[in-house]
Amino acid sequence: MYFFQKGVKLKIRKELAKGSASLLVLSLLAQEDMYGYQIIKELETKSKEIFCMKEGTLYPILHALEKDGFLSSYWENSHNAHKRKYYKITENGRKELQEQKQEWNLFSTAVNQVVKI
Amino acid sequence: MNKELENYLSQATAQISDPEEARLAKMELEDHIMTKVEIMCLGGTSEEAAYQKAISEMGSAKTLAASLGFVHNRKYPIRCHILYYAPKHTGLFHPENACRQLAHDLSEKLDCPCHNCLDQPAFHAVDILIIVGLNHHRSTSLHMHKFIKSLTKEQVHQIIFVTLPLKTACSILILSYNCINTQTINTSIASDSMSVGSISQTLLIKQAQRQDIGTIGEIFCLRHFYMPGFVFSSERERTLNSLKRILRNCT
Repeated sequence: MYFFQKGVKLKIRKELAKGSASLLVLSLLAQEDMYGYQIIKELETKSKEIFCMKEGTLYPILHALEKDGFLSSYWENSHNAHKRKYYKITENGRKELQEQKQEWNLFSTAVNQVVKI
Repeated sequence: MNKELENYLSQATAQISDPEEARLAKMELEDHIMTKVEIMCLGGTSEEAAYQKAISEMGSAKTLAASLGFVHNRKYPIRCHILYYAPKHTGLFHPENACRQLAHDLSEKLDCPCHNCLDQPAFHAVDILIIVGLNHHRSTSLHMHKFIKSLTKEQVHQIIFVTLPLKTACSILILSYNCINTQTINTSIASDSMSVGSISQTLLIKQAQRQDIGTIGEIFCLRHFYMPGFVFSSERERTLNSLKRILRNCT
């Protein structure tokens, strides 16, 4: 995952990106069903272009979340006659999201407290 | 399809061992790239350049293949739940007690995490739901049918019935299949329960098999009422061993 600061592309450390990617994806899908490309674009828009998730990162995450039962999916025809796969958060996914949010809040608060010293 | 795109998609999905999963992943990635190509072309980029850019932005096909292969090929532990469905006391052989005992035995031997909820119809999402203890009463069938109908794929992917008379389970299945979307839950009937079937029961099985259903689930039929500590221990062991075999095959 990348982020942009004053127009400069910077890479987020792998460990940080890995920990937060599924939280970001689940959060977006909690709002509405989306397909892969749409998730990437929404992430850029909602983070004011700070986050730029690569496709190679996104699809394995989506497939893993689906395998774990946190997402379900369905296919619809897109306007260009291609089949498009939409992802939908499941009840289990919503529970997982709540847990991940709590973890994130705890973690970020603790890091901020230490860093601000 | 653009040849470069075709090569990329084949490489990116090459490590997914299930051909159907690989095909679907390919379709999804293709839609992603085609969407990007379309947007770039609208912005004035030539089609060839758009393909090249969209594919290169996807990242290395080998890296993507490794990640997708890891996700799709890993083995998941089966989450199993055993539900004791209390039939009304029907007389001579006390099937209610027998079913309760069998459900208890199964939950211990199959490591069901839900030892406390054998009597309750509510359960958490699982891969396999094992329902123990159905009788031949129509009210039971209807009640069970309503329960099955309320399930979704998110809650349970497969149902195994451990039941007393074979006919009951078949009736419930047929009733359920006629009313629910059979795509949502994979259930079917195994031939090893045929040994206890009469002609009418065989007909019921055939009728159920004609439904458009997957072939994953099984029905276990106890030849006799299960009486703890009584003479049917071989039947109990057979049931447990068969269930273990199925769970092993699912992983």
